[in-house]
Parts: sequence; structure tokens; C-alpha cells
Amino acid sequence: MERFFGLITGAVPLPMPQNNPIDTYKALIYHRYYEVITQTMPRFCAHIDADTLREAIEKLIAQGVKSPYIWQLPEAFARYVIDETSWLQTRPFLADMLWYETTQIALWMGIDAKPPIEEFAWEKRYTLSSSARIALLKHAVFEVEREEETGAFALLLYYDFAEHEVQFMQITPFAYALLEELEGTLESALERVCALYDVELEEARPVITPLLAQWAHQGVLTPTQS
Amino acid sequence: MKGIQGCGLGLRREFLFDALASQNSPAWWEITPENWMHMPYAYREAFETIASTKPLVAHGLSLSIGSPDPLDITYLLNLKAFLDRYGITHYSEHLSFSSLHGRQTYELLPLPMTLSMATHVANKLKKVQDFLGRAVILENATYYHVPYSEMREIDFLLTVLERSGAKMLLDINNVYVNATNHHFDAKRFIDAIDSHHVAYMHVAGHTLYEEENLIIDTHGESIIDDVWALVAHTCKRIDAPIMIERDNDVPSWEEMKEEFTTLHTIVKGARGA
Repeated sequence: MERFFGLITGAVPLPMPQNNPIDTYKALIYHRYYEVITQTMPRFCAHIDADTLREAIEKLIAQGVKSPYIWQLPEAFARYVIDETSWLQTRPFLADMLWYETTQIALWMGIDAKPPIEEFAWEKRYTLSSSARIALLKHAVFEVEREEETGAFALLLYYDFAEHEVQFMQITPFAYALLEELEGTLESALERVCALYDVELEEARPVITPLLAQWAHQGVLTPTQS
Repeated sequence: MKGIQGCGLGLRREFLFDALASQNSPAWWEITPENWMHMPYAYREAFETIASTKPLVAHGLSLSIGSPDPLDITYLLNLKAFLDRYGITHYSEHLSFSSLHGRQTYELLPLPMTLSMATHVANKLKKVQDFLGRAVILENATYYHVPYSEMREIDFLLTVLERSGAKMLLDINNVYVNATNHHFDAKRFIDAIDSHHVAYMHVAGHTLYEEENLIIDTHGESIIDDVWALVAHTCKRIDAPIMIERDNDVPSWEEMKEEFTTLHTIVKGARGA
């Protein structure tokens, strides 16, 4: 059993001549891994040449994935890419692409319940909902035609409870800073960010209010008690 | 089996919403717990509606009952919580293993067909049954290679059932696939099974790889006539609930219903009811 498992997962080298039933199992396992990884991370995988991707998947199989849930396989593959390959160093936009696609999976699979929706008010305290993530990216990976374009891109990914889709929104650095500063009331957070950007509070407030109200309505911002 | 009777179908996300809206849904559904324990929020309401209206049977993939590894308690806790939450009393798994030393293949791998393995599986099954508070129903799996075997598949299977007290999920397509690949008589295999041991039955499509002269149990194609004939043969003798499994290249709900109607017709014809 040990030897059979070693042979089919590639941990033990195949003796020559090759044993066909062993190859069948190797192919079945490889196909299972390949299908899940390429279907959940299609754009990332499209940038890896076929032989390199095959080699990586085979090494991941030999190394072994621990989760009994196959939907967690992309996460294991992402960890493998970070720990065991130099892909992200040689092609830095792939690091942003990896974050973008794995975060989409996490948001698609990770929502337990719709966050409480309350009417927006500056006096309330909010936190970024568990159905949303923000990141500062160095590449415009969120748009297929611009994915290798460099710059500073503040991005919000969130689960859209109306459409049941993970959506993205490119946001301003100011809005990004505000989402990072969500401590105390929203008003106090805005004060701190205005000071950081040397912007008048009364100038910023009416500009950003519709966006924050929209986020509160969509569950991107969750009201908190403390 | 109490709770389910007649013809069922494997519930798949691909046709979940169409099935929910349909007037003609099957008498019961089988679900893969690993695919629904962490279901996307988008499917929850529809799943819960179905779970509240039709009996569900859980058909697991990751128990890895034949593995020498100790039972994965965290997995079992999650599984039990899921089964309890949706009131699922019937739980089935495969006579196979899928992981070793905690490393997952996500494939059903063949066990050595030996007395010691039969005892190992039976003992482990009893622990699982105690933990889950439910009987485990065991499926005859497909295999393309038989490592270190000293018994025929049918003897191995019956020994495991006898030693564990478990009921059987008889997968008719698996019998066909194994019989074809390993050159034994599918009908004789089925006739050797005590009908009282069978809790329910599967039928599915498979893929023929002509060059390799091998059939793979893909659940990705329509059921072929030879398997339908084996279903008819089986249903004459075994009066257990039966269902269609389709996991890959899942067709539209309309196509799925057509195949389901064929199953219904064949079962009715075989049982004369």
C-alpha cells in the first residue's frame, strides 16, 4: 500500500518498464488536481507554460495536500507557488494575480451569512466586512487587457449579495486609507485620513459619503458596537 | 431503507436551481457532503429548501476508510455537524482509500483484498459509526489495479460487510466496470450479494478508452445500454432504492430528467410495479 501510494503520487520513482495501472492512477490524480487548479485560477495558470505547470502540480501531488476538502486545493497550490517556485520573483505581476484569484475563491467559498445591513450614518462605527478584502496592488491584474501594467492600484474585492458574485472595484488611495483606518466612528476615521492627505474634512465628507453609503448598503462595511 | 424509496438522483450545483423550480424532482437526493459542508453562500437557500422538502443521503469521498492513518477527527466532527444540521440519517462511503499519512489524492484508490484489510476496514467502520451515531453504508468501488490481493473482490466485500455489520451501497456501474476491466461475470457478482445487505444502489456512466482497453468510472457520460441491462437484472432481485450519479460534464436539468425517466421505466419494468 505504501509503495503503491508512493508510485501513484510520484513520491517513489516508477520502475522501468512503466506499469500501466500505476500510470492510470497517476493520470487520474493529476487530472483531478489540474482540473481544480486551472478552473479556479484560470488567469494565473494561463501565464505558466504547460510543462512548468505540469511539473509544479506533480511536485505538489508528491509533496501532499493535507485538506480533505478539494475546494481548498487552490489555496495549497498558491502556498506551493509562494514557497517552492520563483515565478513571483521573475514575473512580479503574478504575485498580484495570485492574490486576486485566491481572494475571489476565499470570498466565494467563505461567506457564512449576509452581514447586517443598517442605514449609513457617520456617527456609527464600522469594520470592513468578512465578505470584503482590500489590497494595494502593483499591477492592474483586475483587467485582462491591462494585467501587466504597473502602477499603484487600490482594490476592493467584495461579495455582492444581490448578484451572488464576487465583484471588484478600483478605489482611490484616499478611500483605501479610510478602509484601513476603520477604528472608532467613521467620522473620526475620516478625520485621521484627511489629516494624512492634508484634505479639509468638510471638503472630503460630501464627496465620499455616497460611496460609503453604498458600501454600507452592500454589506462591504459592517456596523460594530465597539 | 427507511426514509428513501424509489428512484433518486445526485444533487449537483449545475442544476440545483432548475431542480428546485421543477415540478418533477426525484423522490430523494444524494449529496456529496464535502461539496456542501462549505457551500458557497449563493447556493445555501436553494440547498436548504431542497433539504427541507426531500430526504437526503450523504455520500462521502474523504473518509479514506482503508487507509492505515488514524481517523481524521476534525473532518468527522465537521461531517457529523453537517449531517446533524440537515437531519441526514443515511451516510455512505467507498470501500477504498484516498489518503495516506494525511496526504490527499482526491481519488478512490484500491485496497489490498486481504483478510487483514477486511478486518482493518471493519474495525475502523465501527469507530466511524460510533462517532457519527449512524450506520455507514459501504460502496463497492472501482479499481484499475489490485495491489497484494489474496481474495476475489466479491469475497473481500462480503467479508467487510459481515465483519462490520455495515449495509452496502451497490454501485451497478462499478460492477460493470470492474467486471469488464478484470474479466469476471457482472451478473454472477451481483447474484452473490444478499439482497438484504443492500441499502441502496447507484448507476452511472463511464468512459471507454479503446486504445488502453480500459473503462474508467468517470460519471461523465450517459449510461450505456449494457449497464441499463444490468440494472434491470439487478432490480429483479434486489428491491432497494436506486439513483443516478453524474459528476462530470453534468448536462442540463432537462437531459438529466430524461435519463432519470429511463431509470424509472427500467426499474418499474423489472419490478413489475
